[in-house]
Amino acid sequence: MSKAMKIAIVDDERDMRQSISQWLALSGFDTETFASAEDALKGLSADYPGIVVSDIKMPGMDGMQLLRKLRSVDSTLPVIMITGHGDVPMAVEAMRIGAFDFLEKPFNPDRMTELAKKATQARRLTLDNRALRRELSDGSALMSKLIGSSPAMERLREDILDLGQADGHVLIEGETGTGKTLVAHALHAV
Amino acid sequence: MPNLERMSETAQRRKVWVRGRWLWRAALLAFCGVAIAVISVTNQFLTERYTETTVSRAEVRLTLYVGNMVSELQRNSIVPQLLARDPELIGALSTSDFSRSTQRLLSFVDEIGAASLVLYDRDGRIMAATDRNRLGELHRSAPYFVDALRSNRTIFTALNRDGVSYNFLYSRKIEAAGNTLGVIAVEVDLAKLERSWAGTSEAVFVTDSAGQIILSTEPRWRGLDEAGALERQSVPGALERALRATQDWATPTADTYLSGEAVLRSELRVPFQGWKMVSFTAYAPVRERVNGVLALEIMGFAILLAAAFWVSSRKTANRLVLFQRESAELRQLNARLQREIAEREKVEKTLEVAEQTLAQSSKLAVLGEMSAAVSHELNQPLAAMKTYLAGARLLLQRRRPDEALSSFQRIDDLIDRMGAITRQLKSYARKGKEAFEPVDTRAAVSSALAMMEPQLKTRKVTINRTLPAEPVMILGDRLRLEQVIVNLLRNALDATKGVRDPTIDIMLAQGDTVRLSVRDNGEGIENLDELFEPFYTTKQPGEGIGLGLAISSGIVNDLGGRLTARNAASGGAVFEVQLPVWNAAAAAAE
Repeated sequence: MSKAMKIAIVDDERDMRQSISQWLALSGFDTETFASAEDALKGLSADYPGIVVSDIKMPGMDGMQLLRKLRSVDSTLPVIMITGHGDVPMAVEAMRIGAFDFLEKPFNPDRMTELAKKATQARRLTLDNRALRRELSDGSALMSKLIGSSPAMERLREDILDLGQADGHVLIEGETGTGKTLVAHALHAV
Repeated sequence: MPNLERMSETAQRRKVWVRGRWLWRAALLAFCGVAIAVISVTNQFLTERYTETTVSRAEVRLTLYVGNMVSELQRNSIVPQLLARDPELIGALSTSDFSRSTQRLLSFVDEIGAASLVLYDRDGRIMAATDRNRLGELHRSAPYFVDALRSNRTIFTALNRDGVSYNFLYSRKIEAAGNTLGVIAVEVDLAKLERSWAGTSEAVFVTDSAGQIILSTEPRWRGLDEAGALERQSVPGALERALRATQDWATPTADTYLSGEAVLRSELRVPFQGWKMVSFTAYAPVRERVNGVLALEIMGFAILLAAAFWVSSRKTANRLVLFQRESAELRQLNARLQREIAEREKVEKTLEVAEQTLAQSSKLAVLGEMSAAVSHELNQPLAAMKTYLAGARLLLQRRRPDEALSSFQRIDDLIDRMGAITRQLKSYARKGKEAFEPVDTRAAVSSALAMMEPQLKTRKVTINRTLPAEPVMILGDRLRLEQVIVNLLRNALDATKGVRDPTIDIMLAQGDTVRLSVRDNGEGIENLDELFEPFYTTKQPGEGIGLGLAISSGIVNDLGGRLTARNAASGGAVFEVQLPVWNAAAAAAE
């Protein structure tokens, strides 16, 4: 853990916000709090380095709407939902939409820490992977010669990145002038 | 509707019936009048008629009697003349040999039909007689003997021998060659006539020229005059009694009374010696005959009346059948109505049960809603507390007690909040009406304002209070009323938080009901429908859980009033409490 992951806590109730924030901070997370879903949406971007913990029942935009919005901003951002008593159907719905997990009030703080850890790890992996790929696709001059942004070209670039790291022989087939030599160079460059 | 028509029809029929009954009564009265008139006319007519008949018959009979008597007398009057010339009797008197004279007289007496024949000699001694016992009797000074000797004609003498019975004698002297030999006397038997009268009339008597009764069907009357006879017959007083009794019978021809009976007196002169014959004929046969006819008439009328009654009763019976039918219809109608009423009552009861069930289920629904809301409201602080507690434990482990302490403080606050929720819930639970007492609403307003004073002081709020001068009494629980007012004031205070010149108007007025309104100049009410629902709130979490108005409304309902809310035309919300006026006099009357 080179750098503490952030946890955005969204709850309309001050005591809930503060208690969760305090607890997670004590557990080693970098927390920030939002009093409403609207505020949270403003403060969260696609590559948010952390996870979101949100209450479902809130005045104005509720937790479910926030979840949907966040999925469209970044589909891999883990969101942990906190539901009130008797909101189980709503929790199931949240899971279906793509919530990371849900907690039922009153929850065990240790379980929240566990969930936060899992979520932050997943988030970290996703972000690392994303950064690596970005690095790779940015760093190789040869790869930049493989121009085109069609899905076929994208898949080809992905395949080259994968195969280039693999230990084995690669046979490149193709008509004269389609770029067999270029792909072979790229494979070696990776 | 048809029922109503039938009823009016019945009423009309009944009216006709009543009128008919009056007609019937009038007819009955008229009939009775006619019957009485007919009977009285008949009575009068027949009485006159029969009286006439009776009178004429009595007269005829009297004439007959008189004729009989006169002829009897005449017949006997000749007898002495004939016997005076009888040679045998003359011879006997001349020779004084009367041995065959009695025989001779006896031979005549039956032929003549006389009572007796007596032959006297010159000295008045009975020499021969049909009654042999009298032979030898001397009648020298007897009037009939003396008169006969002095006269050449036949002498008639009525002789009252013993004061009771009269003897009627014809006597004549017997002469031979200018010498008076003796006297022959014939006793006329008028007693047999007297006897023959007895059966036919009530009473018949004959008076002589002096008015003395000489013959009578009533033997006691003989020797008396008429007045004396009647007096003897009737006991004094009986006459008057009879008079009185008979006056009613309206028999003007009643001349006198016999044995207390009205009788008809008929008188006829007898062409003999100035005699008179008087007969009394009883009216009784007249009356009997008249009464017989009258009885027939009355019977006829009675039969007529009975027939009329029968017809009328037949009619009445028919009418009765009609009425019975109608009343049966009415009974049916009544039964149907009762059935309908019973059904309606049943339906009402069912409705009531349904309403109760509904109320029950809505109560249950409210209860479910409430428990969900309550558990949510309680879970919130519980979750926060649990998290704070976990954090505090960590802080203590890491030797950061100050932060832990502040967490404990937060937990303490949360516990307070939970306490407030449960306290409010407790007051939501209804109380009974046992604690109700007359309360002056003005005092409740004042004490509510006093309670709110600490909160009012923290802000600048204008409070306009309008209270009447007289006590405004309601029946209720003062503490709960104050709770309602405090609640409304707190809401008003909260509503005016963001307003520049916060103003709260409290107005209390008494009309038909007691009206207490609390008005603020805040933003007004967004959702009037859910305003009184439990846990409906516009406030921030922790500031209110939405029970205040629900509880207030419940309390006002318990006090028999209602709590309403509206937005004022000039902005802001108006909450109005309406409560029934408590009237000391009315309460005392109860």
